[in-house]
Amino acid sequence: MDRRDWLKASAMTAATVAASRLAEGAAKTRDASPHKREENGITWDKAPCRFCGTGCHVQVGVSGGRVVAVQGDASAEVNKGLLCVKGYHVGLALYGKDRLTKPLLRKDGKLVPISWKEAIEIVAKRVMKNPAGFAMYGSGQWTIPEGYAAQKLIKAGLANNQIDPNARLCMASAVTGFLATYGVDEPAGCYDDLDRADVVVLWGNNPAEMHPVLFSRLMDRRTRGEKVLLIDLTTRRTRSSAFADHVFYFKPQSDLAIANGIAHLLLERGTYDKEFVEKHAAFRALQAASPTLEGEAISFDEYKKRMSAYTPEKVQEISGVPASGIRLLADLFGKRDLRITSLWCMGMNQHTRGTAINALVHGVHLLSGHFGKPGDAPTSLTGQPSACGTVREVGTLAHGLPGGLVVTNEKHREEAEHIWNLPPGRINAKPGYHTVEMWKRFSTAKDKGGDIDTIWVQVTNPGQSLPNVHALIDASRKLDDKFLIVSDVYPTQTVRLADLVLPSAMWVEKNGMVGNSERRTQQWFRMVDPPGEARPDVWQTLAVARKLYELGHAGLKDKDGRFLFHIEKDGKEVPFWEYDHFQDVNVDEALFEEYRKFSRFKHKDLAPYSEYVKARGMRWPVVEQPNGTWRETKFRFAEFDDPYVKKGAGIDFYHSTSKDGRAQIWFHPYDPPPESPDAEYPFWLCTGRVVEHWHTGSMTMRIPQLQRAMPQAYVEVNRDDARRLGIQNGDIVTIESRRGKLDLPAWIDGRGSPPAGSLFVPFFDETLLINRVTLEAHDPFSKQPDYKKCAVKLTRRAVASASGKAR
Amino acid sequence: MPIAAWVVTLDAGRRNEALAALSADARVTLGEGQPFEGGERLPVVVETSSLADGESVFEAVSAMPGVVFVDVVGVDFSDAALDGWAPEEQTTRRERNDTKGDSCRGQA
Repeated sequence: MDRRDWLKASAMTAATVAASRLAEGAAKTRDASPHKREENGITWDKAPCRFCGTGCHVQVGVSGGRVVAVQGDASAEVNKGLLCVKGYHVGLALYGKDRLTKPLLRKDGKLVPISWKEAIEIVAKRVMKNPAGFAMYGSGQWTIPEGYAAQKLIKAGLANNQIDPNARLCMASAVTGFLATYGVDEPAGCYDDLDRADVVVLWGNNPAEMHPVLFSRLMDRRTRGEKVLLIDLTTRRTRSSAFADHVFYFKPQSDLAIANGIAHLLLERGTYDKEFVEKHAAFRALQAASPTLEGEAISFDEYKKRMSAYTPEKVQEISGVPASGIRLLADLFGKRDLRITSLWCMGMNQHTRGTAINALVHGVHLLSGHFGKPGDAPTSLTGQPSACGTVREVGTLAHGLPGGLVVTNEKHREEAEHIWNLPPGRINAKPGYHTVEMWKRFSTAKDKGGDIDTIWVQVTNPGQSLPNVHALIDASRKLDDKFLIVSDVYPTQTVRLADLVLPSAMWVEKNGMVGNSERRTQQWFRMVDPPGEARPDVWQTLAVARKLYELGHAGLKDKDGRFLFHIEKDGKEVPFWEYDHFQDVNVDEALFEEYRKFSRFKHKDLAPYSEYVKARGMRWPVVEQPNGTWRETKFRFAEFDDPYVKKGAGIDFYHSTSKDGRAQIWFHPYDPPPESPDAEYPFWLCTGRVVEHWHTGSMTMRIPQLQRAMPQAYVEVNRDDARRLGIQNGDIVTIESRRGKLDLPAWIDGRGSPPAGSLFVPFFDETLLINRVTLEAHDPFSKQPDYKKCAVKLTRRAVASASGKAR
Repeated sequence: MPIAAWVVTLDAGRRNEALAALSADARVTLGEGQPFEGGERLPVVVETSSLADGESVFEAVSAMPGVVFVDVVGVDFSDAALDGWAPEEQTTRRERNDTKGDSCRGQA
C-alpha cells in the first residue's frame, strides 16, 4: 500500500467510526485516548479549536514541523469527532504568507524591524515613564496563562487596574445578568442540555452559523426522529430560522417586552412554578435613585403588579410579535413536563439594556421552574475560545481579580495579596477604565483628561472591532505622546495603527489553556515552532515584567523582594524571561497552579494542570474525590450533580445575593433604545458575523477557501426597500449614521432577508469598517456597547455594471 | 491532493437518488452506510486536486437531493501545496474600492 492509499484508508476508517457513532446516537463518545500518538510519520496531539467559544477538540497532525492534518476529536464530548467549516481550516490559519515575524517600531512613519531586546526595553520604559497611564487591552482569545500573567502584572505589579478585554464588547452583559440573578457568573447548565431539551428558544441567536457544531447536535436529534421544537426570536432571518418551527420577528430592543409578556401570562394564568418560586426565588427591581446591580427587594405582589402592564396585546404593539406568539411561548413555559433551554449570545449581550434582558430571561426560567434539570436551562453562549476561561474566570476586567473576586472588596484584595505574596494594601481598590472609557482616554489629549498614554493590545483587533473607531482609536494617532503597542500574528488594522508591533505565536505554536461556554477548561501543548522571531504573548508579558523588575519598579517585587513571577525548578529560579530558557519549565503549568488557588473562593474549583493534560477538558467545579480522582460538574446548583449543594436542598443558589440560597427574579421595564430610526436616519442597522469568517477576519481572511467564499463585506437590503430606492444587487450604496459613513455593495435580501426598514452588515472586513458607523452607547452596568442597533440612512451611490462591479 | 473524511447523512426516502449522484463523482469514495431510523450515515472519502476543489465538492454534496447534511471528520493536507493567502489580493481590493471614490472612508 502506498502512502496515498494509506491516507485514504485512514480517512475512510475515521469517517466510518464517526458514522457509526452518529448512527448509534449523539451521546456516544469514544473513551479518552492518550493525548499524543504517532501514525505513519505524523504526530497527533489534541487541542481545542482556535476559533469560537464552543470548544470543539481537534486532533492536530504534525509532520516535518508543520501542521498537515486536522480531525475532529472522537474523544471530545463537545463535538464527538465532528467539525464545522472553520475547524476544518483551523490548521491553515497558521500559514498565511504575511505572518508577522519580527518586532517592528514605527520610525518616520514606517514600521521597521528591531530586536526583541530593544522592543522589550521600549515597552518597559513606556511603563516606567508613567505607570499610571499604562493599560493592557486583551481578549477572550488570551489563553488562561496569558490572561493571568497580564492580570497579575497590572493588578499586583503596576496596581493601576488598567486592564480590560474585548470581551467587554462581547459578553459583559451575560456576566452582569448572571451576577444579578445568581450572585455568581457563568451558566448553571451545559451542552448536555441540548441533548435533552424538548424546546429550544433562540433569543436573537444564530447558532446555525455561529456555533454550527452545537446546532448540528440539535439537528442530529431531529434526524434520529426525536422531537425538538425550535423557536427563533429574531430581528432578521438567519440560517437558524430556516430550521425553526416558529420564527417571531421583533423590533430591536423589544426583547425585554417579550420576556415580560411571557412572565405576565405565567403570573396571570397561575402557570408559574409556585413551589420552585417559594423555595428558591426572591424578587428584585432597580432602585429609583442610584440603581445598582444588586437592586432592591420587591414583593411577589409588587413584581406581579409591575408585570401586569405587559399583556400580549401590549407586547405585540411594542415588539411586533403577534399576541398569539407570546401566548404560545407562555403556554410552553407553563408546562412542567417539557424541558426548555434558552440560548443567546451577542443579540442579548450587545445591547444597551443587556444586563436587564439577560436577567429577564433567567427570570422566565426561574419563574416557570425550567431550571436545574438536564434540558431545562438558560444558557449564554460565547464567541471566543476563552471568553469564559480567561476573561470571566481569570477576571481580566478593570474591576476583576481571579476567581470571581473584585478589587472593590477589601476581603477579596486581602485574599489576592495573600496568594500573590504582596505587601498589604498593594492592590488598588479603584477599578480601572472599562473598554470604551479606556480608549476614549487614550484618544483624548492629556490636558483634556486623556490620562491613558500607552496601551498594549494583545490577541485582538480594536482598530476594527471597537464601536465608533474614528473617535475611540483613530483620533489617538493624531495626538502627541500616545503610544500603541500591538502583539499579533498578522498585520491587522490595529497593527497598521501601531507604534510598536510584537510578533506573536498562535494556537499550537505555544502551550495553552482555554475555557469554553459550558465551564470546560481545556489544555494543549506546543506542537510546532512559531515562524521567524514570533514569540508567545505570555513570554512577552513576562519579559516586560522582568525588565520592569530590573529597572527597579517596586511593584514587580513580592513582599519578600522576589520577582513577582518567580518560578523555580529543582530549587533554582528559572530565567524564563530569557527566551532561550523559556522552554526550561512549563510556564503555563506554573501560572495555572498559582491561579487555581483563586478558583475555590466562588466554587469554581479547578483541578491540577496534569488532569487537564489527560482530559478533553473538564467542567468546573472540578472536585477531588476520596479515591483521588477529579470529578467535573455538569449542572450547577442542583443537588443531583453539584457537590456544593447541601443534601436535601434540591436546588441551592449558594452565592445568592439575598444570602438565603435564593436566585433573584428581576423586573425590568421595556424602554426605547437610545437611538431609533427617524426622518433623517430612517433605517435600523444591525452588525454581526457570517459563517465563513470569525470576528474581524484577521485569521479567516487569510485562509484562501474562506476568503474566496466571502471576500468582502456587503449590506443586506430588504427587497421592498431596494425597489423603493432603486437599488440593484451589487450597486454601491452609502450607509451613514450620525458618526460616520461607509460605501458598500448592496445584496438584496442577502442571506438574512432583513425586514423592511432594517439593514445588516458583517464586520469581518478590515477594508470596509462598519464600526465607523456604529454607536458606542453602552449598558449602564456591563458597559457593553450595542452593535446591534443604531439609526442610519441609505442612499445609492453607484450602479452595478453587467459584470457585477460597480461603476 | 488533499484527502478529506466526511459523514453524509442521507434521507431514507431519497437514499438511492443521493447514492447515485455521489457515485457519479470520481472524487468521492463511498464507505459502508450505517442505517438509522430516519436514514443512513454514509462515510465518504473525498480526494481533490486542491483544498478549494474540496470546498466545491462539499457545497455540491450538501445541495444534493436526499442529502440532509454533511459533517466534516477530518482533512489531510500534507500533500497540498499551501496556496497561502496573498496580501496583494487584499491590497488590490482596497485599491479597487478607493478608485471607485474613497469607498471606505468614514468621518469623525
